[in-house]
Amino acid sequence: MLFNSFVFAAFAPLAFAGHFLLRGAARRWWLVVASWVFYGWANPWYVLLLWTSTILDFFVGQRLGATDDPRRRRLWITASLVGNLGLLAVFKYTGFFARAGNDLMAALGLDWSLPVPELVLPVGISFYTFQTLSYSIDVYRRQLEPERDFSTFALYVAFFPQLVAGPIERATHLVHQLRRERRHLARPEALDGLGRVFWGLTKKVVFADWFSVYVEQVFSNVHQATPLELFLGINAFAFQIYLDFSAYSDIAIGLGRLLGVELMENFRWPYLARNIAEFWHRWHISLSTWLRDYLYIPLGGSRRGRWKTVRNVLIVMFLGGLWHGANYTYVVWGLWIGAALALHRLWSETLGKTVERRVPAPVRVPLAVLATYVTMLAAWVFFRAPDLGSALDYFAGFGGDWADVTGLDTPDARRTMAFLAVAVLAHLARGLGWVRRPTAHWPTWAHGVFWGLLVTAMALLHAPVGEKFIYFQF
Amino acid sequence: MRTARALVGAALVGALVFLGAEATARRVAPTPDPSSYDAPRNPYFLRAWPEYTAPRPPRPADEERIVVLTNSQGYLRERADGRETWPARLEEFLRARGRNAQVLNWAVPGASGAELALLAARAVEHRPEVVLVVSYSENFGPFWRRKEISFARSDVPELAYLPEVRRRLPASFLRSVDAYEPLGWLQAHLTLMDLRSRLFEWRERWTFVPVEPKRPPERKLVLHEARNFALLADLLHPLARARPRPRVLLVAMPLNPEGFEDLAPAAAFAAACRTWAERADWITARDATHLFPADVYYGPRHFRPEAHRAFAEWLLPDVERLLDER
Repeated sequence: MLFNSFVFAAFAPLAFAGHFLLRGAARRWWLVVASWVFYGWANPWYVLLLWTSTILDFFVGQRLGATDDPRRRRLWITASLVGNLGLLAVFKYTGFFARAGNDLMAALGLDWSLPVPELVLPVGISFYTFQTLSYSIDVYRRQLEPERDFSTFALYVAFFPQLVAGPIERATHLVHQLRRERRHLARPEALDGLGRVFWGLTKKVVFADWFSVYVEQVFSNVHQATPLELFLGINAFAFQIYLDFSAYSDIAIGLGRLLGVELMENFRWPYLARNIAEFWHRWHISLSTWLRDYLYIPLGGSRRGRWKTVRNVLIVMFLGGLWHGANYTYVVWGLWIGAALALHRLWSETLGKTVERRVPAPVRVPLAVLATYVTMLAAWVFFRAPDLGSALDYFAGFGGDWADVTGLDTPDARRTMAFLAVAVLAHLARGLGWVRRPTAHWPTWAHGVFWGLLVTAMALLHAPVGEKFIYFQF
Repeated sequence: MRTARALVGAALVGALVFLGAEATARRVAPTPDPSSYDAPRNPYFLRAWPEYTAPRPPRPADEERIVVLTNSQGYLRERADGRETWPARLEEFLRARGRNAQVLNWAVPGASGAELALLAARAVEHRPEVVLVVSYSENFGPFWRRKEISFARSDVPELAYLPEVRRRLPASFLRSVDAYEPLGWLQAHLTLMDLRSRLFEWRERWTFVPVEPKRPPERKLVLHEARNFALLADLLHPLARARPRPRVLLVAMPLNPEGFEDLAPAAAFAAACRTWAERADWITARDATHLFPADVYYGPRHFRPEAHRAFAEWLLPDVERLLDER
């Protein structure tokens, strides 16, 4: 079910009504069933996978809590890892690895090929498998007591506001909130929560979807596009993906707040980051912290010398890229960012400190922000292109005539430039400290005016395409 | 309770802001002239003249009215002047023969039979003497009856959410084209949503701008095989029930003989039109598929201006006869 659909507009009041009318386990079960309906709306069979993951990790958690024997504990955590990663491997990566094997065989000149299964990727599988995995690992590490109540655990896995595209919540943060009996919904939370939902919807249907119209045009005509069109196209995609994904997080956080649950923030103005490491502290925070806590640190993090740190960063970003999708483009995207992170680390250990001392902040900071943004622009080419060849064609297109402005004299290009100008100005205002989030202190009528303006903006400015959220595919 | 009051209060204020914006939009939105041939086109939605969504104008007692339901062939995107289209020429010829006739050209580029059926239901309001349907198999294939109406690229689907149009169409049609989308309903009833495309299109795009004529196709086009023309029955449904009932002229439209691999599907459509004409005395069918040689076409389907004139001349006797029969 899509947040930006009318089915959801009918579903949400029902889910909320049950939540506020029921008590205790009945309330939790109501939300669990609602979440399963939400997830299975497009394809009810997907719910079976959700149930598999839920039952597996609930059971593993119980067994981990019941034994102190290290061997048994290792056995149970292995069962969780194999089960969850197995689901991902089967549904997400079987085809990719089969194709990769076939490519390798062809490269070696062997006339042998694997059958490539065409499985439909269940929506959001990467998100909830990582969420359940984090629970089992935390219990294994004794950082968390296993959850005894199945309804609470099932709700932790399936909580509909963040089920399909995150934030990837940790049990340590979410479970106790779900277990807690419904408390009084305070006025600021309610008003701010609903405002956040409207804001997220506006970002999605007005900005992200309009950007997608132009992005699609450019990426499907790479060979005909001028360098300026390509440049505008990739800038549009940078903001499309940011606004699209952060819109989903805004809606999830707003809905959670209306249900009395505080979900973690997933984005903090990432394009204001001054280096690539800071970018990853601001972008998809729930995934980057997951990768840090469950992959980077267990690999040794940055404690085992410079080159092992570089190796760890590359491994983590390689897997982070693969998490996004079973395609070489995502692998290259991950490795590109991994390389940038490693270079940044080497830079900050050597020349970076000198530059920081000698170059004044008003010059250094804007240049650093720009350099980080451009690094991500290059990464987004790989992320958006359908295959590596198309990505390389995109880069090759930049070698054309930069003085050719003909492609920019179209309504779509002008609209995209206008929207980009709005986005850049908003970032500039935020970077200079002019934008805060003051809505919590607004009077009730001001919230009403804000909502009315956002709904008006959606009616007047919404894009003609009803695009799915990009991160649904992951 | 305090929270609930705050939520309701804020929602009311929000609703007021939204309704104020909608009222303003209604005031500033242009009202197209239904009889105009230079009414602005909306290039984004590839629609034709927007008069079918405009209020029905008062009709002089002695006026004869003909509504044309057709596709891009009646649109003449290659020229800047709508008066060169064959419906405009037809009106010119009828007037030259002393008739006070008005021809409403509802040509929609890329129209599906479903869109033409909606337009037929709308046409009834204009109490036309004659409804002229000029189309071919591609517009009426079974694909279009199974496809959601929201898929259409024109703004005709808005009509599917107007009660006066819906009640004239068969329920099975509304179900099969899924005319139950809340977003479609909003699109049809909110002027704010209509204003959107004007905001995102520059003013010059809202006037007649000729497009580059198509060169002769390098490869011949292949028409989809179509035997079931149920959409034709949907289109005729509101016209059959209209009182007074208009005369209907079904024309299998002219096609470039060198533009297509095989014209058998077009012939099947012409045969379906003939079958309807044999069944109902208020329907006349004509097959114009092979009417013109290849050199009067811009591409596989679009006429050059001289062919628009010739086609209007070809239609004239039938249209006059139908007008006289009433």
